[in-house]
Amino acid sequence: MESPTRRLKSIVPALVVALLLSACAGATPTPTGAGVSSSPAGPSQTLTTAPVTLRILRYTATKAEEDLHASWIAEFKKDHPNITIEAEVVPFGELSNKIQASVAGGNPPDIFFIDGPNTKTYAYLKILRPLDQYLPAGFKADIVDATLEEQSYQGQLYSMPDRQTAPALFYNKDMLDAIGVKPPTKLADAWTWDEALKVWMQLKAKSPDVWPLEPSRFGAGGAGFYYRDGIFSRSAGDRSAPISSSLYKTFAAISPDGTTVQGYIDSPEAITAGKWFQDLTMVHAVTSKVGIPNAFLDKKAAMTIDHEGILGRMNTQYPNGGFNIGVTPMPYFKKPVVMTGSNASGISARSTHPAEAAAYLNFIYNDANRLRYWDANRNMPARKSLFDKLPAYKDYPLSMLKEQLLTIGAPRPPTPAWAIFDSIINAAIKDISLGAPVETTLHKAAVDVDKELAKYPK
Amino acid sequence: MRRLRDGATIALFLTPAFVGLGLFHFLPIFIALRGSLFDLNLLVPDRETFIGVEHYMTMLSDEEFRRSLLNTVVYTGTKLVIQLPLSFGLALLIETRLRGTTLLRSAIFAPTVTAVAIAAVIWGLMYQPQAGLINSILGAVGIEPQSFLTSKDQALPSIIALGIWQDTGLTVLILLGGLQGIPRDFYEAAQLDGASGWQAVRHLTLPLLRRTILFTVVLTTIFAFKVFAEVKIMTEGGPENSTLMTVYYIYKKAFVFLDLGYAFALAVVLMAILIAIALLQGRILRTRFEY
Repeated sequence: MESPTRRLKSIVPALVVALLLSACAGATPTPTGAGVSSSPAGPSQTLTTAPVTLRILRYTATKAEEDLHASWIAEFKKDHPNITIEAEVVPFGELSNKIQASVAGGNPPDIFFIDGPNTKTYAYLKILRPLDQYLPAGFKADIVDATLEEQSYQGQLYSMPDRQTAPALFYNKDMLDAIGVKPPTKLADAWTWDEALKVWMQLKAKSPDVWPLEPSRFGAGGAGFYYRDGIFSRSAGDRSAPISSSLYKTFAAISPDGTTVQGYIDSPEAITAGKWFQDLTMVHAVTSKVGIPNAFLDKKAAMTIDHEGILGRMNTQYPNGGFNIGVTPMPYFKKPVVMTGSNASGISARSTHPAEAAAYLNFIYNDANRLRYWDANRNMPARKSLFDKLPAYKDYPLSMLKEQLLTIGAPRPPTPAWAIFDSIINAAIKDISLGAPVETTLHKAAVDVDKELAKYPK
Repeated sequence: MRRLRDGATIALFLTPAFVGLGLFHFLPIFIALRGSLFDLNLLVPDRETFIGVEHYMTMLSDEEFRRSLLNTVVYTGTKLVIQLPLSFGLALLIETRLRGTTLLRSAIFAPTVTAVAIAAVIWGLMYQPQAGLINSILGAVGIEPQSFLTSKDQALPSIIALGIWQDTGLTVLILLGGLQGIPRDFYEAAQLDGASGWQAVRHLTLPLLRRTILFTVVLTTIFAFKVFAEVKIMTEGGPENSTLMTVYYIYKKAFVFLDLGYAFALAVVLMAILIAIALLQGRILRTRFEY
């Protein structure tokens, strides 16, 4: 007969699941300075002279960016000797978990960097503090439209945009030359997806061992990353169509009041686009069903949907030049669209030093420091006036990428339930790419998203 | 007086263990039980609404939860059916102490000490439809490339194969320990009575190994029910939820959907299922022999 103790020991590992979940609950925190100060604290306000420590949570970056962050802290300290800044740095993929843990533990940092599309979630849950009262004059109006929409909630800006991205179709010029194709360089001449497919089929016929289109490098690799794969569906819509039309809904992907995605992500146009997308893997086999790390830069793929960060990665991988890289505007079905969104930072609603935190943010987001930041990573700025100060954006290819951002850029569907929407739609996109029935998959995803949206009433 | 002093000493030595158990096992269980009765958002820890057993009622109609449970049961059952006989056979083989068994023992145990995340990444690469090692081998013998992780019919068996490869070493080790604990005289007596090798295994080894087998079965079941990293890294529960496992589903509900209360309820139900299975296995595999 087994002893009860032994039985208990044998089931203890299973309880780890409960432990993991319980650990996140933490004790109920006692808010210290929770809620937002109602006193005005604009950029000209007097900061405390008492010793203050600001805690920052941010993501690991390249050496150039890391050096810049260190410089900013040192320079800010010179002007504000009483303010000490302690930075905790985690890999980008861990950022969201780290924020969750710190919030659940009741001890969030004063400033945290986030993935921009999560702004609305954090604003809705009152984790971030509205920033309008802290912003320099004209700052908000200068933010790129798509970015402003993405990082605002109920009319207030809740996070400062680090940078912005807008993907395009990058290609290996040598491989395209080999089949005699010169992709367009102007937005007005952008391919349709069918024209792009024709080229992919030519590439496949010429070099069967090279994927015409790189599978997504985003997320877990392969299909199923809305930032990239949602473009197919949204480009089957039209943002200028009447708001009640199926075309507009296909572009918008969520209702204006944020309560439903049924009829939006599973509209007839979205279903047609979904079937076309599915054929890329299941019929034409022009892209891999699974992720292939670094396929484009390793010349295992001729084209890739990526943002301008790929140019930096190319230079890192091939400092002496690898192959000729070109970029063409994002193809479309009905109307061109690219998904925007990048990193940002905000002030914790629980910070007891919001004015000092805002002073630091205003410092690192001033024009001079944004230009230094651009030098460090070459990602597009998120403020219009900065483009005028960067001559590189006057010429192709950056001029075209800038034009895409400013004219066809659209934030990911704005909702406080963004991460949930993303998780559900990504799984649906992946399933579709692997052969799942398009209509039922999209409809089920829409129903599932709607269930979750209901938990986020206005 | 001395008994009192001994008691105090024992209590002193036991206190850290009990404090640890209380803090890291029983308190979390209590928190999970309590939390399962509330509507809780992970990011708003100080805002909770009592909803009684609503989460448990929701579970009854939660198709994804049912699917995750079914997948987990299939994963566990298949692992038990394949891994245990395989481990027993390998343990017997190692116990023969023939030439090469030392090398075999190392080879079998190596996957067990490999980090599951690393194993999942490597197996993911091996399962690649186009350039994966497994399809290259299949191609060499004239078999069409298989989809493996990208097929809703093959993804679960592919993950089961990884699980068996990784965990067999541990079960072999436990069974080997059990085998080595059986006194040699029993076999000598059986040999004198004219028992064949197979008869000795059937009538001596298996009955005397019941306690070890029970431990192995319970351990394998619990490990299998906790499968997470492989799913997270290799398939994220897809395609079409074919590899959605309960612990991964709990993780998603807590950390992606931020629905902490529901995740607590799922964890409580999973714990109850595991306790029930462990008790049932204990009853079925009760031993009648002591040695």
